[in-house]
Amino acid sequence: MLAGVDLQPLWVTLQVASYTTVLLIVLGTPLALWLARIQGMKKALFEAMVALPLVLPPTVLGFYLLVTIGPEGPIGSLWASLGFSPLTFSMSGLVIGSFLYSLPFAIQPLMHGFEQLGKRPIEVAATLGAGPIDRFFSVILPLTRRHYLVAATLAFAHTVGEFGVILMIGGNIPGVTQVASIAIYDHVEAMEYSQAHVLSAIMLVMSLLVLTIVYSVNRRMEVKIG
Amino acid sequence: MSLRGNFQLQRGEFRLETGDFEIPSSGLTAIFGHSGSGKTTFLRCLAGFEDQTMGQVKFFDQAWLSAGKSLAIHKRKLGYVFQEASLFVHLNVEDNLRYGLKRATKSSQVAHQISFPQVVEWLGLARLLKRDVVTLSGGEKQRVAIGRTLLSQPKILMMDEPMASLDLFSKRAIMPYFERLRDELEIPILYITHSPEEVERLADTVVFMEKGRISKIELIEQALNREGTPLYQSAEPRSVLSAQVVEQHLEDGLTGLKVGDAELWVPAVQQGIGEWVRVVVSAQQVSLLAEKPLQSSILNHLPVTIESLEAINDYSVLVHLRVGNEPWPLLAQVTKRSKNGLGLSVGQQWIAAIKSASILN
Repeated sequence: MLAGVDLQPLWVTLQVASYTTVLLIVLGTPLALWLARIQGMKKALFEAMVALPLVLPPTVLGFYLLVTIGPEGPIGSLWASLGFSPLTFSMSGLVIGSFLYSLPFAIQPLMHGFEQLGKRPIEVAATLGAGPIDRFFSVILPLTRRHYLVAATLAFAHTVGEFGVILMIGGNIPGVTQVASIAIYDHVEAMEYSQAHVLSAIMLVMSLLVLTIVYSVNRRMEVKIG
Repeated sequence: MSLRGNFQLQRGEFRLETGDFEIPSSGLTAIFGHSGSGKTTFLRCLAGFEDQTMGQVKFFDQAWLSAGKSLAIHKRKLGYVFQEASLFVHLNVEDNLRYGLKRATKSSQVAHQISFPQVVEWLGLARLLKRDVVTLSGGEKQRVAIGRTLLSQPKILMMDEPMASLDLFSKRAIMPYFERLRDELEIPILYITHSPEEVERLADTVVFMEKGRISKIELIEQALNREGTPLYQSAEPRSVLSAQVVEQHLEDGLTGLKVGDAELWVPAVQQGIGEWVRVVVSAQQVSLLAEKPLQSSILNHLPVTIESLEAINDYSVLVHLRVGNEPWPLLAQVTKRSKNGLGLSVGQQWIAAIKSASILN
């Protein structure tokens, strides 16, 4: 049954989602730490900005991205002048788009984790002689690892399920920027239902599998931390 | 003086304004005041937790706060014990204890003053080491938190009502550990409390706080003997004397103390010979006699000089007495009739008969 089905889009999807998740966790951590610390109007404004992708149609986000990072756009032209290949219709472009699109799914759990943790454990660690980086790895990270798990899962899953933004900035180049969600759409358009069935079924089973593993790990962490 | 400064902090309606202050380089300094007087804010500013603090703080020759620059907390070598134990829940008791010790070991080659076995012994933690911190009782948690702080080899120890979250039973159980810390540690201790009992038992110096200001910093004997002291506004007049243990008469259940040149017998105390204790004598327990009686059921007769007399109500007079060259007065409450009948006046020599006295620590 798998014969004749191009599985390349699944591989592209996996790559985009992995890069995006790693980037979101690494860059999202300082952003979420900062958001958890600020207060008042400033906090409301920046929280709203981070949450924007939740409410904007993906095509709107994709459109602005295209305008910004396209060869004619401010960032795109700067990028080109530095001698890099264009961001649009490339893997890097897809990752940038996915990063912004999935931002709230990574930031919100992390921010809530840091808020719940409060400043006390960090103050304690500081008086015990731990510097800022040491405090993060020895106290903050172990105490918020469940939030990290949730953030990474949601960011990954949300990126896998992405469609509109990718279509706007990545096009649909097989083997390069053609992700599974778009490939399935193409198959359906071309009345290739059997190929669409195979890809969809693989997506369904894999998603269920990943989520089940994550939830069981999460449960175990919960039991251990009490 | 080890720790000195002058700083301000505005937070909403509340303003903390310390004025110049200096805190002694040894012994336990209690920070005393009603809730809302700014004790915790004062200590948090000192430690460096409040970013908005303006002013100066200097610990020996290390500037903690000056010209808007604040030394990072992890470089200050201060120990801080919070009201709640605030243990790290992802670490067991031993790993909590070792958290600060490891970092102190890394940052200095100098041998530690406070060792792991010593802290385990002092605070009675041997049986708890492998336990999960969530399974500990309140008192146990606080002991672990104190141990963890001590092992980080602090140069100064700050404690914010470390007993506030404990029940009476745990308080009684943990009090001796604090006394031990005060006696055995060579570093200054700052200790917030709103309990006069804790001040009396533990403090060498008292910082009084009122409405965001430091109203007074004085030695405990001064503070306890000061009239109208905030330490016990409603209590009966009484005096507190420093005394040295000179004799133990265990068969009688008595301890002999030296106050000035005189000897005072009190119910046996645990302290060894040569150690100092604080004796509390209620003014009502002191009578004045013209000379030492040949036979009396009262054990304690001290020669005293009358320093001053003041009426405290319609029928009684408070007599300030001096025992030898002691710095703190002994108070006696006598009736107006006795005062007139005996012709008490300033400068006279009398014998003070003390019916009962108790020991603070």
